[in-house]
Amino acid sequence: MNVSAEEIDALRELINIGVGRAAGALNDMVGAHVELRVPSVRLVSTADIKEVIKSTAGQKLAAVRMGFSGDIQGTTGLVFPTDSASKLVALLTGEEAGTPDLDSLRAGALTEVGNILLNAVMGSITNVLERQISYELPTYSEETPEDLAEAVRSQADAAVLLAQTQFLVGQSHFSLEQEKIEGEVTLLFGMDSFEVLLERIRKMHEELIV
Amino acid sequence: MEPAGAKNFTLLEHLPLGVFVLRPDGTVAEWNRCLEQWTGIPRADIVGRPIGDFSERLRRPQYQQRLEAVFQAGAPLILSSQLHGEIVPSVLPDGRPRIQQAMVTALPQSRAGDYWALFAIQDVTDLTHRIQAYRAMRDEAFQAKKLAEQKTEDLKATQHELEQFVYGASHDLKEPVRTLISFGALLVRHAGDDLNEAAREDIGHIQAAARRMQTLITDLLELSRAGRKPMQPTRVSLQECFDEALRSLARRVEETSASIRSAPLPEVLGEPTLLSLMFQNLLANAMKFVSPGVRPQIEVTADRDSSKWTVGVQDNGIGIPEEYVGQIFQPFKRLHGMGEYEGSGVGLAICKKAIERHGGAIWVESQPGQGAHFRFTLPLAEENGK
Repeated sequence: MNVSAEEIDALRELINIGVGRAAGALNDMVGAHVELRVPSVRLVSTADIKEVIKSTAGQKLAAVRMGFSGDIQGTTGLVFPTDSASKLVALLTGEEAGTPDLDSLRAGALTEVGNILLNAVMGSITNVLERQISYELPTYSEETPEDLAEAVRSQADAAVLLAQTQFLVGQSHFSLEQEKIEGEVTLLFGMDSFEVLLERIRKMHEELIV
Repeated sequence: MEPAGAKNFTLLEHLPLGVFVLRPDGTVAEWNRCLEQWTGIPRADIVGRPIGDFSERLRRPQYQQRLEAVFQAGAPLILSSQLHGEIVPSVLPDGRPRIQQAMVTALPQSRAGDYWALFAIQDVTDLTHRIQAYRAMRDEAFQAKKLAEQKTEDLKATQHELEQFVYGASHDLKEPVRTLISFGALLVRHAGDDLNEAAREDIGHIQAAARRMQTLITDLLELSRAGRKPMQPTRVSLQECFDEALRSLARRVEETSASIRSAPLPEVLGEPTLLSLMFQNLLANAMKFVSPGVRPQIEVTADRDSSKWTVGVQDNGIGIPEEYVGQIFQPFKRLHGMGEYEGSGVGLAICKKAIERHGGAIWVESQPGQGAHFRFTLPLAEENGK
């Protein structure tokens, strides 16, 4: 798939709009200061996804995934190394981040964080696509990069969009001391045809230039 | 207009889940039996009215914003118990709030792009309390583990300190002792015939004591380097080790008028210098830690079972309070002030190390005022003596 640097920039912008909205929702929801940034996105072929996930998130993952169907089909997910997942939840809920345990309460909270993020990002993407999509309920799982790659491959065409995501969480709205979980969270977006999305982006680009 | 799928709502009536349906304007379209029970709000009172009148939480703007994703885009919502706790007001019989986790799905309406929101609320109170109890346990175990690791570290540091101390002290002591021995010899040579027999004998005692001290210092040096160095056990007469210890303590025995009785002691597998050193420490302690004016009475016993010898050194001293029994084998552990009873506080630590090197154990049974009974085990000589 040929994707230009401008198109990648446009994709990054789309995702940034989504995560920005998600950060606002998280802020309001947990009363902590949350900032989300996506410094880079890239398209990775489904053949390579396992290795890429392994190198960014390690061998043990916590993933929140949400399938979607309709005019386009696919899956979107938020992938953490399990220890930073439990750290994030501890920060958001104000717990002591003592143990790396992801018990079912933390898993529930993490699923909600994933839900907020994935809804927001899917919101900005479907705005561009102007297509009708219906969503499945998000699911939480702890899995290996192999399992995750297999699950994504079955729902995506040749490429998957990966967005490296930075979380900055302060203890309160006014806190200057910020904890950062950086470069470890991956937003994943796979669908049966990326061409549809890229087409729309090209068209918007042309409209802007004209 | 009824939501699509509302005909199935009778099924939801019987679920052990709190289920209700919201219209985009925030009014309640359905309210199931489970919720009637949880909240005490009858269906007839709430259907058609804004949910915000009944749930303070769902009136807040941040919840309304998130619900927009359901009404406008048909996206599902997760409201986790850890971030929200309570969705609809519901108090348990014991007065505590019912902890809830909700999933909200979009119910598509007949006009494309229109959705109502179906809330399915799970009661996770029991689960939450179980996990909280588990967490408390887990955190306690985590803390205990950290503490134990810290203790091990501290102990290692102390041991290292002891080894450094013993090594340094032994090293510095060697020189004056060597001087003592060589000048003793010079004295005998120079004074020659001027010395009478008694003086000659006295010098002999001084030199013998100095040589024993030299051996001990060498042993201490050995001990401080020990641990890594594997021991070469040989058949040893414990009786000879004991007699050797008595000889080096002869003056102390005389000064304190101690009565020391010993059963015949066996042969064991071990290192003679270490075993003498140990008897010397135990006997010296037994003579040292007595109430003023009391004559030390010490009894040494040896009992054999199928795998080992257990040797006992019983005294009539001041005894050891129970809370210190576990600590006295630690290096530099002194239960008394320096002025009260002299000593460096390494004696029992050396005993413990010596016995551990022999693959044995050492412990003490004692009550304050009732003396102390030190006991240690040693391997049988037959095991590899043949």
